[in-house]
Amino acid sequence: MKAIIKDYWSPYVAGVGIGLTLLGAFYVLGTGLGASGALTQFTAAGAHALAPGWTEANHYLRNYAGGDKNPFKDWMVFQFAGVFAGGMLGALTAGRLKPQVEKGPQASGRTRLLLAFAGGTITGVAARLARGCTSGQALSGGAQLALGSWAFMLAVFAGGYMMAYFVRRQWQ
Amino acid sequence: MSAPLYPTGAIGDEAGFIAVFFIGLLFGFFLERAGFGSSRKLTSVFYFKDWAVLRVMFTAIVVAMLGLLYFSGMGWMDNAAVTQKETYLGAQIVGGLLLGVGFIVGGYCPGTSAVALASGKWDALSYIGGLLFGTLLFGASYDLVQPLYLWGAMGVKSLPEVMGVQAGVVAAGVVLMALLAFTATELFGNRSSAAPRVWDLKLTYQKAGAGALMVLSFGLLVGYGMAAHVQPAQAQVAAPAPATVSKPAGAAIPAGGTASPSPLPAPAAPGGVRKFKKGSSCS
Repeated sequence: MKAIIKDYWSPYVAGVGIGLTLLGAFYVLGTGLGASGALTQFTAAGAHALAPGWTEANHYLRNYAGGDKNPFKDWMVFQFAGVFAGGMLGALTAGRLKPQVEKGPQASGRTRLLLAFAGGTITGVAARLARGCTSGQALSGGAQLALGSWAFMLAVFAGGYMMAYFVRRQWQ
Repeated sequence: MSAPLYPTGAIGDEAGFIAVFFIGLLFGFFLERAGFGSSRKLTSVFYFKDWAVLRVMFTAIVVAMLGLLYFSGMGWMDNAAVTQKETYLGAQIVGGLLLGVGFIVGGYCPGTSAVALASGKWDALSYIGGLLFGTLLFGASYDLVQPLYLWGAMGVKSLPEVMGVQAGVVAAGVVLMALLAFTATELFGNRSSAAPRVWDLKLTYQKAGAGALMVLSFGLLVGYGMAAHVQPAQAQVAAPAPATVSKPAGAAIPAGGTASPSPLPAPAAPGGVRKFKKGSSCS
């Protein structure tokens, strides 16, 4: 039996869906969407499990773990779990759930995995510095017309376009 | 008025946790349908090949922005109880540049990497490992990077406030910018890429949507303009009075902003309003 892979949606339709979801988040929760916040919780939880003393002394991570704080009982973690579940639901119903390393035909799998880790590391630092990522700042703060979020959004595109030439082989 | 539901106490903690999961579920599902579980699709915006990232982002921002302004303008939602983003201009510009670099090198941003992992992408797992490591690096060097982290602290600052115009005017400008970007990429964008097929919206519907956005932003211009006329320069009055529920469009908002007019960060919520714990960590 050959699985049928559904088409992607029109970006405008998907955009309206995301926009209404974001509006729903503001209406129900009083705050926008977010993704990188959950990773801060995971990092703090992991660091606290391995080195509780160091984590509780760290001026940043101690805000997220230690004491009576439970890093997993946090909105951002529940939302991240929801995003994962929603992504899987979407991939399953579209016939797109397929284990693979996604890369350009010319690039090697090892290069791709190494670059993914490097890019993740840079993004991890960047999201903490900017107090959010594409979801929390660009989308949510953008819709609220926050000055810093718009500056962030333009900077993301600027950074991406500046760097794109140097890593083009990964995608070709 | 009892919205936003959680901060005003209309729903409790348990309902909040359930709601936040389902909101994430919808977000993840729409991201997947947009094609954002694929790093090649995401990154092709940086090679001028596929404009989905730009179109999805700006459509979502415009829809949520108009919704927020109408909801608070009509008095359906108390904007003072919504968490507002504080601006740290320097930190956010440097962070944005770095995040853009991380995006094109790694292929994802944090939210889309979760969707990609759920679609079976091993490179997304590697990327998420990097995210955790990067967050740890930031935490470990926090004392060192703190000046950068606090660079350009301005408190809650909105574009209308900075530009000195009404929120309706800025919103109309954003809508216009988005429509111009959509039109330009539709007309001149490269459509010959070998990316997976996209179910395209009929041109008639695209035009109808664009028209609807223009009508809605015109409504905001009129609504906010009238509100400013009724309440000239009353912007110093902190937090709208509770009696604003029954006022007409726009009247609940002080001229010049979606954000609280108070220069102090955030606490403009009237008594008894719960804030999402760790408000600024929401990201």
